[in-house]
Amino acid sequence: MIETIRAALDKQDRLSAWAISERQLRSTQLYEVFGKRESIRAVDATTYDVDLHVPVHLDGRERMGSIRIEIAPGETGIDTRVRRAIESASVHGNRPFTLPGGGMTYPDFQSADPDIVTNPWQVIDDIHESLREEAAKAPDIRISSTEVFVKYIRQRLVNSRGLDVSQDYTDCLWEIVLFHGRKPEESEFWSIFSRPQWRQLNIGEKFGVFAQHARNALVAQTPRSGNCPVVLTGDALEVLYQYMIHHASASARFTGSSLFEPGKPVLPDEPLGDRFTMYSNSVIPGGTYSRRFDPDGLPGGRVRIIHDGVLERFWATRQYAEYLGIEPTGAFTNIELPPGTRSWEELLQSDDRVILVEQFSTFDPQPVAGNYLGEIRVGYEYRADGSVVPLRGGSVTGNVVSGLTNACFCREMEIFQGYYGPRGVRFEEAQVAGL
Amino acid sequence: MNDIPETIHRLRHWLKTAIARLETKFPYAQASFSEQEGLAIMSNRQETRVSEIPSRRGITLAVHTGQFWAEVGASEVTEASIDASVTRLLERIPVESGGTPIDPGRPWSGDFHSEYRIDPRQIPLRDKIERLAEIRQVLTGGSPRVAAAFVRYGERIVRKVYVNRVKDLYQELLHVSSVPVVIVSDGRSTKTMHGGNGYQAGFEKIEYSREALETLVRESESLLDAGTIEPGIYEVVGGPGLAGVIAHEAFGHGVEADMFLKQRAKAVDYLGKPVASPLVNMIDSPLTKGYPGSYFFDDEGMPATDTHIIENGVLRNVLTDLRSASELGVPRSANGRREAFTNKVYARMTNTYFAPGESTRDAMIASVDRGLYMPHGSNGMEDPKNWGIQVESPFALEIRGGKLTGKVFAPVVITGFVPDLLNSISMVGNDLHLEGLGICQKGHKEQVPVAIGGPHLKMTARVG
Repeated sequence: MIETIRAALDKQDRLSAWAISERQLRSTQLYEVFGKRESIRAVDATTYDVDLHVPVHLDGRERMGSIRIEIAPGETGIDTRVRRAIESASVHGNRPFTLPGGGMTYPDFQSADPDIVTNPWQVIDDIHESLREEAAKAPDIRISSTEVFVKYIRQRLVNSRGLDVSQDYTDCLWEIVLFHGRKPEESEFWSIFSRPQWRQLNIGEKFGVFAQHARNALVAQTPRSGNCPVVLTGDALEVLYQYMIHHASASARFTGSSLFEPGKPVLPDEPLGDRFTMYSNSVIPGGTYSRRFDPDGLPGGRVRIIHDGVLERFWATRQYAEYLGIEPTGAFTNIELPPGTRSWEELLQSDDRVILVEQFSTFDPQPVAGNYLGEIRVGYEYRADGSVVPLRGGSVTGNVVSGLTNACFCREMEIFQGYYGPRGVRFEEAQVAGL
Repeated sequence: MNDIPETIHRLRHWLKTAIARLETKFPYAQASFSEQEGLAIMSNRQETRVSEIPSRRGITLAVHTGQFWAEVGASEVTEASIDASVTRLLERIPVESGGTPIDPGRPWSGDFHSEYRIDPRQIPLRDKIERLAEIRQVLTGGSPRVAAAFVRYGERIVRKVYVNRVKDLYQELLHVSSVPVVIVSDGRSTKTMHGGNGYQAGFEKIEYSREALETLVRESESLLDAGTIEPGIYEVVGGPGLAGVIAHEAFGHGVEADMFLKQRAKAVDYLGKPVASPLVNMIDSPLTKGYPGSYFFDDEGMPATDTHIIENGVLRNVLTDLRSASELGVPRSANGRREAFTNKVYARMTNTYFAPGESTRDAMIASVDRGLYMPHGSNGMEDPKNWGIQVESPFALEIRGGKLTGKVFAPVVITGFVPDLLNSISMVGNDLHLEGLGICQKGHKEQVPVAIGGPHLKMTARVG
C-alpha cells in the first residue's frame, strides 16, 4: 500500500516534500467480571497517515503549506484525494522546514515483547493464570473485574528525502479492581497501568501491593486540613513535571508560551532543596514511550534537557529546531530524572506529619501554569511518633514551581509508565484540604 | 444534503449477510460500522496547522456465545474481509449454553441525519482560517500580558451503521467545535484559560462575541494575581460548567449499570431512595439535540431515550448497555457506546445535566455570607463504590456579605461524599447551559464525546 501511495505522490509536481506513516495494530483483549469471561475481542487496524507539503507564496514571502490526510487500506482514488489535499495545503503557509533524510544511525533498541508478537492469546492466558495464583494467596481479597489489552504495533515511516525506517513495539495494559471486606464494610482498590512487555507488569508483586491498599482502604481516614510536606509517588510522577516539559519545548518557545531561557534557571527562586535535572529518554527498557525513532523519523536516544536547575537545551522536533536554529532532539518521550540523595524512608520522616500519596483519583497538572490538584484515592499519613494512618478522600493542591523550590528526591529508582526516576519526590509544603 | 454514500448501502448488505451466517451457529449476532471524516485546524500567531482527523474507520462483528461476547474489529472494510472475519468467529468461538438470552429489540430500520444550517464542508478553508485569525487577534490585543493565544477548530462527520436480525440503521452526525485559548504571563509565571464549546451542528456555531473573548482574557489575567484558598467548608455557588462536572461524576458514572455487575456501584442499594436535595433533578439525554452526546440510536441499535436519573432528589433510573440490561433484567436505555471499532461497548453517559429550577444567579450570590463563586468546572473523577467525588475548577471568586469581593483563588478543588454534596444543594438556578467539549473516560480509557451542564447551583462543599 505504501508503494501505491508513493506512486500517487510522485505524480504531483507541486509537492515539495511528503511523508507516509504506516501503522499496523493488532490488539487482543480480555474482559472478566468475578472470574467469569465477559468478553473477548480481536482487533486488526491499519492506517496510513500522509503528510503533504507544498511551497506557497504568501504576502511576499516563501512559505510552506502543509496538511495531513489519512488513507484507508485498499482505498481507491488516491490521486484525487491527494490533489484536493494539495489545494487545501496551498491556502495557508508556515515557515518552511525540511524533513529528516535517510542514512541516520538508529539505536539498537527493541522493546517489543516476543511473546506478544508470537502468541497474544497465550500471554492473556498466562496473565490470567498469574492472577489466579496470586488471588489464591489472598483469601480476604476478591477480584471484581480485570481487563487486559495486549497490543502489537508495527510502524514504517518513509519520506521524500529517502527516509525508510521501521519499528515494532508492544504494550500490555492491565486494569484490575479488588475488593476487601463484605458489605456494608467493603473497600475497593482500582488500578490501570501498562508496560511494553507483559512480564514487566510484575503481577505477583503488584497484586500484593494492591491487595494491601484494598485492606487499608477499609480503615482509611480523611486527612486534616493544613499545609504539610507531601510525598508523591506512582503514576502521578509521569505527569507531575508537565510544566517543565512544556516550558522546555522549542514549540512553546517559538509560540511565545515558554518562560525558559537556555543557560538560565528554570525556577524563579533559588531552590532550597535538590536541584532539578531532567532527560528525555526514548530507550528506557520498560518505558511506555520507548521507541527507536520519533514521529518524524529522528533517532531515539537520551538527551539532557535541564541540568542542576538550569535549562541546558530546548527539546525540539525537526521543525521547531529549524525555526529556532538549534539541534533537534526528537520528540519528548519518557521522562527520566536522576536519583536523589536521600532514602525513601528519609522522605517520610517529619517532626509533625508527612502525607504520602500513592494514587490520586485523577491527576492532571497544568503544563502552562504548573498547578496541580487531586483527591487522595490511596494515601498514608506518616506521623512523628512512627505511626502510619491510611488516608482516603481530601485533596492535595499546589504548584510544581513552588513545590520544586523546596523539594527532595529519593535514591531508589523506579519506572512508572513513561517515567524513570526516583520512586518519590517530597515537596516541603503543599496544601491539604480535609477535615 | 442527506444522500447516503453508495459504499454505505453496499456495506449494510454485507453486514446483513454476515449476521445471517453468524446466527447459523450463535444465538445472537450484531454488526456495526463507524467512521468519521473532518478537519482540525490550529491557528496561532506564528503558524497554522491543518489536518484531516483520524477516520477511526472500521467494522465490528459481535456474537453472543450463550455465555459471553466475542468480537472482531477490523479497519479493512471489504466484502472479502468481512467474510473472513465471519469465518474466523464461526471456526474459533464455541457456543455455550445456559446464559442469559439476548433480546434483539423491536424491528426498526431507518436513516437519520443530524440538523445543521451551514455545512462546514461548503465553507472554503481560507475562510475558516481567517475566522480563527479574527478570534485570535481579539485575544492577543486584549492585554499586553497575553503571551500567546491560539484557536483550535474541529469539524467532524460521524457515520454509523448498526445491523442485527431485526434492525438496519444508519445515522450521520455533524459536529463542530472551536476553542480559543489564551496564555498570559507576568514574566515570572504563566497562566492559561480556554473558552469555546462543541456542538452537533454546523458552521453557524463558530462565532464569538468580542465581550466573551475579552472576558476570557480578563479571567486569565486574574489568575496571575490569584491567592491560595484556605481549605475548609464553604458555601459555594457553582456555574453550569461546575454543575455539569458534578452531575457527570456524581451520578453519571455511578449509575452506569455495568458497574452494578462488577458490584462497584453503591447506587444499587439506593434505587428508589433519596440521594439528593428534593430540588435536584438530573437527566441523561441523547435526545437533546445539538450536543456531542446526541444521537438517534446507540452503538447497539437502541433508539435514543431520556433517562431521569434523579427525580426530585430520589434516585430513579440507571444507564444501561445491552449486556448489563440483559443480566440485571432492567429496561434498556440507549447508553451502549464504544469509542471506535477498536473498543468494546460499555454503558456510557451522553448529555448529562441538572434540570433548571427557579432561582437566579444573583439571588444565590446575595444569599451567601461567606463563600465562593466558581463559574467554571474543568475536570473531575468518579468513585462509584465509595461515592467520593473530585471536581476541579480553574478559579473561585470570593463572596462576602452577599457580594463578590474581586478576590480570586486558584486552582480550587471540591472533594467530598456525593450524597452530602447533593443534599446540600439549597438553590437551583433558572438558567441552563450545556458544555460540549467534554471527553468522558471509563476509568482512564475508552473516550467518548459527551456534554455536561445544568443551571447555577448553590451548595455546601469542602474546598481545597
